[in-house]
Amino acid sequence: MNRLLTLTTFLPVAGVVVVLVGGRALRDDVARAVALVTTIATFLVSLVVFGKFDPAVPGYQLVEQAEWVPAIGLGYIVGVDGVSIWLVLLTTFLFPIAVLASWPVEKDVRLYMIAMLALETAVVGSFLALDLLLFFLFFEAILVPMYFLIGGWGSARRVYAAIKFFLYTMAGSAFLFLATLFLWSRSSGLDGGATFDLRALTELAGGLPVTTARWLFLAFLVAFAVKVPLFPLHTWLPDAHTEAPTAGSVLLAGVLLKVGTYGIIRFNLTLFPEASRYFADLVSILAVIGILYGAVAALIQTDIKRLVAYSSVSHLGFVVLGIFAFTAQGVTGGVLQMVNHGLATGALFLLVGMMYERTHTRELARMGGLASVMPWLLGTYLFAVFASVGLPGLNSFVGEFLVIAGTFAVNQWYGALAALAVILAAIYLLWSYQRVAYGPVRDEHRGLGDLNLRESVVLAPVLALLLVFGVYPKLLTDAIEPAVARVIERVQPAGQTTDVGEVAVQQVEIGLVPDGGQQE
Amino acid sequence: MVGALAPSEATGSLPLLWLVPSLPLAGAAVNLFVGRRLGKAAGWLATALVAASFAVAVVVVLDLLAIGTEERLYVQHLFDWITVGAFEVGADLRLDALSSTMILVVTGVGSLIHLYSIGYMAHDARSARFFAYLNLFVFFMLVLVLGANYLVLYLGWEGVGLCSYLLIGFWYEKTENANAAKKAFVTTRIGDTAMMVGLAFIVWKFGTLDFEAVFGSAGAQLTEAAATGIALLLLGGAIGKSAQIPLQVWLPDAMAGPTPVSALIHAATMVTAGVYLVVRSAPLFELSDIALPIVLVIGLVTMLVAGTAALGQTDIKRVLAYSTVSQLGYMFLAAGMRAYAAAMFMLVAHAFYKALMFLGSGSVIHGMHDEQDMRRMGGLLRRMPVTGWTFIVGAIALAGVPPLAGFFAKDQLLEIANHTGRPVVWILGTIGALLSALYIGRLVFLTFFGSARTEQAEHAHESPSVMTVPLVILAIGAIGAGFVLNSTAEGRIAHYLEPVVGEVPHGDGLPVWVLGTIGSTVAIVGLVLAWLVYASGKVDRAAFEERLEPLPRTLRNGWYWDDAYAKLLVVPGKAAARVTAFVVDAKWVDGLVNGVGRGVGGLAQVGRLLQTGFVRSYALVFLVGAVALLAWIGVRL
Repeated sequence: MNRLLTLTTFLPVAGVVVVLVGGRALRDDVARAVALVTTIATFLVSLVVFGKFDPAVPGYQLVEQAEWVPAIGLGYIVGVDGVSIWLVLLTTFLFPIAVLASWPVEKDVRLYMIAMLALETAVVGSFLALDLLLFFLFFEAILVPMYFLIGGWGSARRVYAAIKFFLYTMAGSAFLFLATLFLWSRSSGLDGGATFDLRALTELAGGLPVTTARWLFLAFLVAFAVKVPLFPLHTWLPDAHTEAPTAGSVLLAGVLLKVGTYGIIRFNLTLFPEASRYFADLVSILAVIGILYGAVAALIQTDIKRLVAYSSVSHLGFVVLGIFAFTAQGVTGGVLQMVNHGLATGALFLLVGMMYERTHTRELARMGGLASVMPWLLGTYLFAVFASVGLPGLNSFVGEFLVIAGTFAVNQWYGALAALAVILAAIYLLWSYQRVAYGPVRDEHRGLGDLNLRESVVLAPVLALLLVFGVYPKLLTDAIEPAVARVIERVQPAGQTTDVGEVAVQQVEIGLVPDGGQQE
Repeated sequence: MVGALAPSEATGSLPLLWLVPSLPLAGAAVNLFVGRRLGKAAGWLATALVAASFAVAVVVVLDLLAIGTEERLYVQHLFDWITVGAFEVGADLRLDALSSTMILVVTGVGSLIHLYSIGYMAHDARSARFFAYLNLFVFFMLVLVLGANYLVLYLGWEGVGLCSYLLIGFWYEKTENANAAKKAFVTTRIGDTAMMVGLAFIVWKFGTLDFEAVFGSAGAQLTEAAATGIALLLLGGAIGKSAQIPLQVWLPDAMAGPTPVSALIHAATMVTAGVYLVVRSAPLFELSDIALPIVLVIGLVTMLVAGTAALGQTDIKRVLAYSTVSQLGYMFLAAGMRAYAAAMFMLVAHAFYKALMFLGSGSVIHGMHDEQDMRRMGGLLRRMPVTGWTFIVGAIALAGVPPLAGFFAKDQLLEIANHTGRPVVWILGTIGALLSALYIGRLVFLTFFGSARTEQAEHAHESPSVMTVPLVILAIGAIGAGFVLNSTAEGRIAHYLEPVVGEVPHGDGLPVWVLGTIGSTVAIVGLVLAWLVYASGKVDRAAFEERLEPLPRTLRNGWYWDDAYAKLLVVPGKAAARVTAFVVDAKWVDGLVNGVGRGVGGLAQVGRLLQTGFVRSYALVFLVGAVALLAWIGVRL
């Protein structure tokens, strides 16, 4: 039987076991090496998964199914589709990088690496679980190692940030848990008895009264909106990002936030298509507000990590906006933006971390002139900045443009307002870059070293992907699109133009509007 | 409107088209990573690759010319760039009359400027980096003009903006240079974003961004309102890139970059991209009743505002910068009258004489040891004869004295204004011509004539031949471009471009020879007036300018646009951002959400629990549970 997905999910646990068994006898370097080897092995396994994955097939693949607690209908069901495959790959790709970037961590290295490895299992499990309760367990399990990473290895206000992060997410997931239980209770009438199987519940949810489905939609939405984060539930994020250690910020921005947007696609849209349409305007408006609000707040930040954190609020707004456009371009753009934001912002946090290790400050006012001292580090940083700015040819542009174009076809206001963030992004990112890199060098920063070999190894693969996915996004979209088409098909009511092929036929008359009647 | 062209087969050397942008890209890659080790060879390598690109461009364009005019279009599909649903964008290059004109200018003038830069940047420690950026710029500029759809065009469009940013801020140790770079990028990005929304609009209406497909069905597809929307959004991009009012403020500051950059990017090529965009998108603009009139008015106002501002500058490069803005205004004006070929003719002619003058000013600055203030120059013609005389050629061409390039370009344009029943445009255009003769005369006389006013000016030296040879070649271009391109009655370039951009408008008005006489007279009068004030010795220049205050100060400050923007946009914008971040977000949103949480769930209590180790026990319970579950799974599977 095929156990590849299980292997991908739980391989990091093997690393945990090794470190635990090694105990105090394990030297720090060995613990680091174990973590690195484990995460690299996990990445390789996920590549095998990718190799077996057929992008042309829209549904779940490589599904593994086993009973777990039959008494309550809890099953161990995992599977992968065109959306989750990329999020899993993003995760397994970023973890070895985050581990290698954590080499300078000296405090409680073994615990740190255990937390990292546990986190990887929880995140990958979240992306693969097709059983609602199993998903919930993984989703909750993310919290614990992350809480420790922030609270244990963060900077000055780490305890406050960690608790805030924990409480926000807990509060959100309470709703998720209740909604899950509600669906489960309704499933007892099914042939197989009560179940948490997403596929069975999808059938069931279709038959729920409209009002019930809308309430459930909201319960799921709150849980995921906190994670994304969607305005106004975002205020945990600047604190958590800022106080977390470098790898924590990289993983928070890179993969953890995507659990939220992924959840929206996988659960909200799939389970409650009618409610998704019903609340589309509300969510889109919140997304647009978040896009602009995050960008405006980023303009004035004096702490570079906080600035990048607020930019994440803005960029994740694009993901949500694209998803709720329900067009092939919008949703595909949203998924692309998830991956691309993970890479671009991941790179930014890696670089900010490397600068912090040298200058011991995150205050823009106390940097300046660093480009003269460390040309390669700052040159690399500029590359990541322009990827984040959405420069065409680099990765983020493609997703951003598809979201704007896909949204514009449905609602011109949302599309045009969201585009304003593109101007703001140029302002805050270039302004901060200038304050870090240009101008005269400060005396205390003379003689700082440029990128070392380890750091170059950390950065090179990420930077390469920023370029590759900008020039040839088909690598991603070929797999994403069929999965997205399947989701849109569910959300758009029968009789409307949902299949992109039909749009192709009709586009001569109606352009890309999925609903032929909406033009102008 | 022009009918769609039938793409022709790949004949002869046409399949080599991809090499044209690829050669400078290769140069950029090499110089970026190993340029330092190349030493002096870095500059020669960069120059050779752009020259090679020019050579390939010539060969390719000659093969294009061999094709009949109705089929003079070659599209090269390199790979699929973006494919989502029915929306497909290819990495496609398109060679037609319009793009072939542009690539010849970009690579031709580009090679000369690269050559010149070898001398100009000889003493800079980071010159390899400079050449990498310059090559990268040429690559993106070629992508911009060769793109067969709006998204590839946009890729080039943003790419040249990136290079402009990198090169304006090349000497980033000085804060003002870094500021100028950021200002250029952000200001143009305002326009670029409008343009991006315009592209979204096109996707919405057409489902494609391909030029042929969009222009081919535009008439049937678009309402007048939609056409106006698209055209104005695209125009936003054009205004930013070509520094037209109200987004003109970045270009004078962009002079902070090394002078070859000003010549290549901020005179000859990138800033003309806006004109190219309007001309390329003419089939869309023409479907709107108001888009082209707006283009015309923007061009006209910009031409006058910048032309007057140029009169007040004391920095030699800023005179040229405002002059460029003003000349771009002329090109917009031409496009606004549907005289696209006239706009393109002006673009080509301007590329020669303005690149010439920028490089000349660089040679002056080089010879004056980095002095840019014209008041501290004087009498340089004797000490820098090649620079001086070639500069004078450029100045005469710009002023519009026959038979140099600028005369033909401006004359054709004013003739069209007169012959299409636009007397106001004709009169204002003629006043603009007078202005350009005045400011360029002022520059030439202050810099090259009279006696040396400072020690530096007395000891100025001529630049090495690697810098003066390009000046001579460009001067020949500035003299000859008018003859060559416009020597037949119809105008050779107009005839060449006709299949893409349509005919030059015709009509009746004053006889051509009368208009030509008026035009040349105005140019000569302007130059003579400038001589009277600045070189004849009959007028006390300082007292003369003093008497006109506050006008000179207003002009020197570019009509105070920067100050207005600072007061109206930057200060309130910063305040709004501060309130958003530190009041709304930190106090209200954060407070509200926390408050709701506390109220609903009694979280205050949980909070207290947390501080006493609740989270830790939770985690412990969770971990124990997780391990147990794992064990369970192991058993069950």
